[in-house]
Amino acid sequence: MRSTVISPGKSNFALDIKELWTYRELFYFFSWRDIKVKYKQTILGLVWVVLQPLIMMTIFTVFFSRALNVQSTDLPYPVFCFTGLLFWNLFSSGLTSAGNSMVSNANIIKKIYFPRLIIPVSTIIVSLFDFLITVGIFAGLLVYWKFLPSANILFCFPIALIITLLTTMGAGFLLSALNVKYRDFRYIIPFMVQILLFVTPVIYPISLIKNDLIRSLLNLNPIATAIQLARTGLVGGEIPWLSVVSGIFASVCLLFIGLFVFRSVENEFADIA
Amino acid sequence: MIMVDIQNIGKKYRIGQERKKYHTLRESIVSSFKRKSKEDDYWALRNVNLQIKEGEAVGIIGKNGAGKSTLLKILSRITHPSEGKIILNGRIASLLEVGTGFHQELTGRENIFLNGSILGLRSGEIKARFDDIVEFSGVQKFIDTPIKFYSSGMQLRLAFAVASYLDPEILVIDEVLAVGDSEFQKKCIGRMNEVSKSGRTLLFVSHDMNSVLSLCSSAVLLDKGSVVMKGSANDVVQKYSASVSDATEYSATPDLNGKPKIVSVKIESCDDELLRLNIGISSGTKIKASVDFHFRDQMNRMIGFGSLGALTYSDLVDLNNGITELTLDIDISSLASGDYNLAVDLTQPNVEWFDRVFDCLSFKVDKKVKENESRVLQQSWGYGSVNFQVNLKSIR
Repeated sequence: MRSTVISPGKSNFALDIKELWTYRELFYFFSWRDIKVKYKQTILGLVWVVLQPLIMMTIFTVFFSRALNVQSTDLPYPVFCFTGLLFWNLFSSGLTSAGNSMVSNANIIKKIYFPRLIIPVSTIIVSLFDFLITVGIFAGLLVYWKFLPSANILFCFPIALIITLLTTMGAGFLLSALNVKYRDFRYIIPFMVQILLFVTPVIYPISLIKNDLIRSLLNLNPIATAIQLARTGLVGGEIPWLSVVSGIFASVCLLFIGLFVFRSVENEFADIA
Repeated sequence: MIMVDIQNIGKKYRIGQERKKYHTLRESIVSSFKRKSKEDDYWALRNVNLQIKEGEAVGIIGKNGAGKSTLLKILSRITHPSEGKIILNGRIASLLEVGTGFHQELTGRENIFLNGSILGLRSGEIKARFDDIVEFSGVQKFIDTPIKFYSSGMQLRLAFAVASYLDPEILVIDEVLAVGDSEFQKKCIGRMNEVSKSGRTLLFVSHDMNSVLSLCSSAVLLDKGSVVMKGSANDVVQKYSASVSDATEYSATPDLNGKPKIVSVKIESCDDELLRLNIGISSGTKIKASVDFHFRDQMNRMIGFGSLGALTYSDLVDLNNGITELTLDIDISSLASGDYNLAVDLTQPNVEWFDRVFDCLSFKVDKKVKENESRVLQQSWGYGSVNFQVNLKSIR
């Protein structure tokens, strides 16, 4: 028989992996619910997953490539842009929904116990689901454009995905915890995502920035690392090991900060949500 | 074996935090410079000690704000205690609200799986019980319809059905039966009785003393955050009923635009023959209404009913736009000595129910021995509360 002790103990910052494992089905059920509900009562349904990045890519291609004549190094601009958007959308939609997840699920949090971490993780799984569909479209587009990626892609894409996921989780945990406490973050998150889009080389190549100092600062951003890694994988050439290591390091740090803040606020969620 | 061991549990809220549910950044920056005073602390629970044995069904009763829900929330691990600890020897499932996690856009079938998994069931377990759940809820026909098209009664039945098939060693239930029609309530009580008979440990919070009495063997009375009494359900319910009997006045804010509402009830006088009541009713329109009285004894058993209008329509009370005051006398000469609770209902008979003041007032009947009697009936003797006149014809 299982014995549980309930006490005020706040010292326990260690993640209870065993408990998360017992509740593993809840990850599935929460993300399944969100995916089901997301496109209910829309006429196009899942087509929206496909349309969103396509429309964004078209807009950026028209404005940046044609009108402003941004040079996209070795890749054709649409391929260049779509690669960026692929990872960027995973990050931005994951961050936005994870950041609001604890508040929007407050009614459940106040009535039932389960490891709270499941909620933001599940919303990121939903974004991952969209990501996987978009990757399928991306592959289709590559065929259509007759663009043959290098074999490095098999290494670079998964690593870029891992870096993006870890970063999204770290930032998502952090924001979701802060959002419960300070509802200001509901308004801050959209601005943050906007600003991050401009300081991340999603729609422009990082080589566009001539100032060395600013460029190396921008490279600290793990999402920038992930996107550039993915592009390197498409073009081929030497894998930038230094940035792989720094990207993973930065995203893991962020993950730990997010987890730490989340765990330290977790006990209060039901009282203040 | 002790299943739930509550040791010295306390839960502290900051009063500011109670009133305002969330902070803004600015406030927390400003308040970090202020010194926090001890007086802002409010203990919703303090020094609560309880041991609950295996198979015991315990009712937790108390007035609003006594700490019942806080205790359940701590037991369910939704909120953390500020001090003390609890040892739970077994899997615990709690039902603080029926239908938590239901999503309006999903179908009944989908919601059974979602809700079941949130409550801690594995999908295999849900599959195995799926047919039973659907049958208990009685929504077979609509199982593949989004529940936003369900009536609230159907949603409730579905939700309770899922929850009642949870199979924990310890089941914690908050006032979930306050809703639903009486047939369904009976079904729920029956189901919970089954659960408790099968050796599960049950903790049950309710304001309805009858369900506590029918479901629980023992009970705990909470008041102002601490345990006042623990004992057999009968004793505790009686103690509780006596403790609410100190109000002789009730008042509420008038609503001059809406439905008729009881704004004041006052016991003006009470002797062993007559109970004189003063009632104020506000209304937004001119309307006829019936005023009904329910009398309950200390065990919260219904012992009497009186009405102006419900039984004879010619007695209906004419309410004016504004506040209508009534003074009336009720014959209580047949009641035994003891404490009674009074509930007042305001309805349009068979059409609409306007307002209810539930067990708001209490009065004490203190009979004096009359010339032709040698003693008077006391409620506490357990012979009932109503005295019938018995005429002796002959003795052989």
